[in-house]
Amino acid sequence: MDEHMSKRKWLTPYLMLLPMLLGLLILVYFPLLSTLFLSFVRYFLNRPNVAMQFVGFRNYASVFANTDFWQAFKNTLIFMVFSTSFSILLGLGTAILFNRDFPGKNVLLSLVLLPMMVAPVASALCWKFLFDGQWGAVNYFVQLLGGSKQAWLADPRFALFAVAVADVWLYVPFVFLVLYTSLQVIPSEPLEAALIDGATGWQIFIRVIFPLLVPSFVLILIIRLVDTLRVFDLVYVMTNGGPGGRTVTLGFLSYEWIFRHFNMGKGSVVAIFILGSVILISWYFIRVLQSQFLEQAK
Amino acid sequence: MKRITTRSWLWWVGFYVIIAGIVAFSLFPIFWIVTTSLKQRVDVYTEKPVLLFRATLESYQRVFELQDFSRYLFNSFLVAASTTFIIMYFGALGAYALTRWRFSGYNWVSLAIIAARMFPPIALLPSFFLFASRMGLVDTRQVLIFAHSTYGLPFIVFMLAGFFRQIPRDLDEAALIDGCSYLSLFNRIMLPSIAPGLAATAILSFIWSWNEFLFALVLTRASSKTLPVVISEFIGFVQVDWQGLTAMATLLMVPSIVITFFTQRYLVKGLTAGAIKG
Repeated sequence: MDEHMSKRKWLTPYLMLLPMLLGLLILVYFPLLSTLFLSFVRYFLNRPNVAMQFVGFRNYASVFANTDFWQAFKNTLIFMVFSTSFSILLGLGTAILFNRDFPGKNVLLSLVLLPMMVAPVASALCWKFLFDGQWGAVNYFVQLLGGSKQAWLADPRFALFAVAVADVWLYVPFVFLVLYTSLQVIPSEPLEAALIDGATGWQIFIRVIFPLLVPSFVLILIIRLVDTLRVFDLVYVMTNGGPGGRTVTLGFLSYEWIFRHFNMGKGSVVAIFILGSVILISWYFIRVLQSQFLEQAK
Repeated sequence: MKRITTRSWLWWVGFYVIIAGIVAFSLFPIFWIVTTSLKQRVDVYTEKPVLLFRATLESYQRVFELQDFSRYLFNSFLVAASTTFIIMYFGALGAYALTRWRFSGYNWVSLAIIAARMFPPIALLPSFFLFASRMGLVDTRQVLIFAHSTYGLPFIVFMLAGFFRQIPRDLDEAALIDGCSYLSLFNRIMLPSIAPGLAATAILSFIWSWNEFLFALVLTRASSKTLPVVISEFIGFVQVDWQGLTAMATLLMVPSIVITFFTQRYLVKGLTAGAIKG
């Protein structure tokens, strides 16, 4: 009986985790390996009866020699830098502003957080409409300020940034929320000590507050970089990659090659490239989360 | 933190002006889409924005006249609701196991769960799509529910682990000594005691699945499409029907916004757990 009990006890955590691990195996881990495999074969989705043919690194060679790929790579980098820096700057600024008591704070805070749960597809539509060349409100405001009307999403100079604005709008609340909660838990002793020493507000921020924010800051930076690296929905809805490929990002390019050109091999190479970059950027983040798990299990 | 210094009234005017700007930036796109969806045709297609208008539901009427639109709306709801239940139960089960036992292989299992959250869906989708189409599962609601709940689980497990940690282990041991099995201990004692965590989980899972686009785009074709996919197909790239699109965007956006607004207190705690997002 005792032995039976301890055996059951030994198995229990595994049985509890089994459904999730099985799901992850089917949806995540097996497909990842299989995508890696597909990146080495020649296979077309619209010709399912033609057998897969192993081609070694030929898909990789042809993708890395393709100007569309490098255009998408460049677009993705610009998008990442623009969107990450602006969402963090705005989120940080808002967090600092809200980090005091003032009348109306609770309501205003709720309003600032509203875009957080909006679907990316809906955000894309909002901004597609606002940036519309003919009926868009952005043009109206631009003209009020003395500027001239632009077809924002059809203009190669502006389209990528217009898409990035929709991304910034969507993610500022999240950045704000995380930095705001981190600011709220900063202990007051170092601040008081600095004030007594006669430090100014700016000095306090740079020397005292910012160092204490660094851990959440790094995590936010990683999350933002990974999210912008794999951006897809906004591009798909707002520009469909246009004008002339100026908003094609790596995620969009991979989708386009696989599901529109049916080229499994080349599309998978791009997907693997995204995967590798994501792992590279987020490795630190993954380890931090894992150590938190280990701590919880004691 | 408390400021010791007192500010001049000019400082406060500047402060509120900046805050108003930030609030306007957050709200205006939502406000604009929702009001546009309630406008008549002439008030939508105008270069000078119309602020005062006679509200009409004609855009919504048009949208619901589209073939099968209410079916797609129902798909969205059904997929999100099923995903929510699956994530809540199996997420809690996994989180419980991860907080109560330091079993052998713990490092690998926790790494596999956390890393899965970071992997981009586009890297799984080519092969998962092939697999699903060979099994004849493409364009079924089941396969989308499976994909949503599995991909959503790692984040939720992490969130719920924080809640389980606060429950003393004495509770488990007392129940086990009373002859409770692990399963009934979990179902009858553990689940009710993390109810606030489960509520936050339910909200986040529902909204996540309701909003999700890429899995739905790849894994559905016709009968099991969800709202975001229908919307993306409705955008014509030559002529854009803004009346229909703003109405659809409102239908997609409003449930999430209303839920967020009224449950913010619970969400904030879950969302900031370890600074991660689903």
